[in-house]
Amino acid sequence: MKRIELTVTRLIPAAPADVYDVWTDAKSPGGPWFGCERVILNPVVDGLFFHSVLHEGKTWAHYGRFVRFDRPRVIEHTWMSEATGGVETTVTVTLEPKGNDTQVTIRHRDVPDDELGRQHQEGWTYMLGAIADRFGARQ
Amino acid sequence: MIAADVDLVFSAVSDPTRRRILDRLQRGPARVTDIAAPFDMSLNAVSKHVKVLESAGLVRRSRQGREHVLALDARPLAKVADWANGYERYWTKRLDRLEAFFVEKRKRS
Repeated sequence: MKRIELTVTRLIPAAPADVYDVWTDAKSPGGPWFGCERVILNPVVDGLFFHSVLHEGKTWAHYGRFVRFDRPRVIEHTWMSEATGGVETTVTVTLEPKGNDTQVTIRHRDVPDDELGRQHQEGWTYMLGAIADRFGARQ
Repeated sequence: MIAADVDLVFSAVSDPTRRRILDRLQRGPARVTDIAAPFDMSLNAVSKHVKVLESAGLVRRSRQGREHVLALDARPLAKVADWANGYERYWTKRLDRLEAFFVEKRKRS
C-alpha cells in the first residue's frame, strides 16, 4: 500500500510550554483529546493511549504509544486505527517559539493514501482523478 | 495548505475552459495567443480565465520579448492532493480548536 507523509502547521498565540501542557492533558479544552467520546491517556514514554472520535460521520478508535516527550519542544507517539490498516504510523508534534507565539507542526508519517476518503468529497474527482495523477502531482 | 488556498484551486478547475487551458499547458508552455486560438471567445475573455489560474498558482507567466508565455505549475495540485487525505483534515481541525482556545484565552488575559 502506498504511504504518504502529512505535515500541517499553525501559529498558535501562546508560549510553547502552554501549548505543550494543553496537548498532553486529556481534560484541557483545546487539546486534541478533549471532547472525544472516550479517552484513555497515559502521557509518559511507553505510555499508551486510546481514544474514539467521531470524524466525518463515523466513530474511529485510535491506539498508540508515546515514544518521546521533550517539554516544551516535541511530543511523539505512534498511531494505529482502522484508517491506517492496522499499521503503526508516527505522529510528531513540534513546538517552536515565534515571538510570543508558537509554531505548531504536526508530521504524520506512513499514512496510507486515503483514496476512498477523498472520493467522498464533491469535486475531488477531477482534481485527483484527472489532474493530480496526470500531472504527476505526487512527485 | 489552508482551506482558502484549496478553495482557490478548486474554484480555478471548476470551469471547463480553465480545465482545457490546463490540459493544453500539460503539453508544454504556450503563448497566450496560442492558448486562446481554439476557443470561441475573445482573447480578453481567455486572459481572464488565465488570470484565475495564475491566482491559484496553477499557471506561471513569463515574458519573451513582447510575448507572454504561460506554463503549468502542478505544485498546488500536489498540495491539494495531500490536503485531501482524511488525516490532514483531521489534524487541521485539531489545530483549529487549539488556536481558537488560545485566541480566546489571550483575549481574556
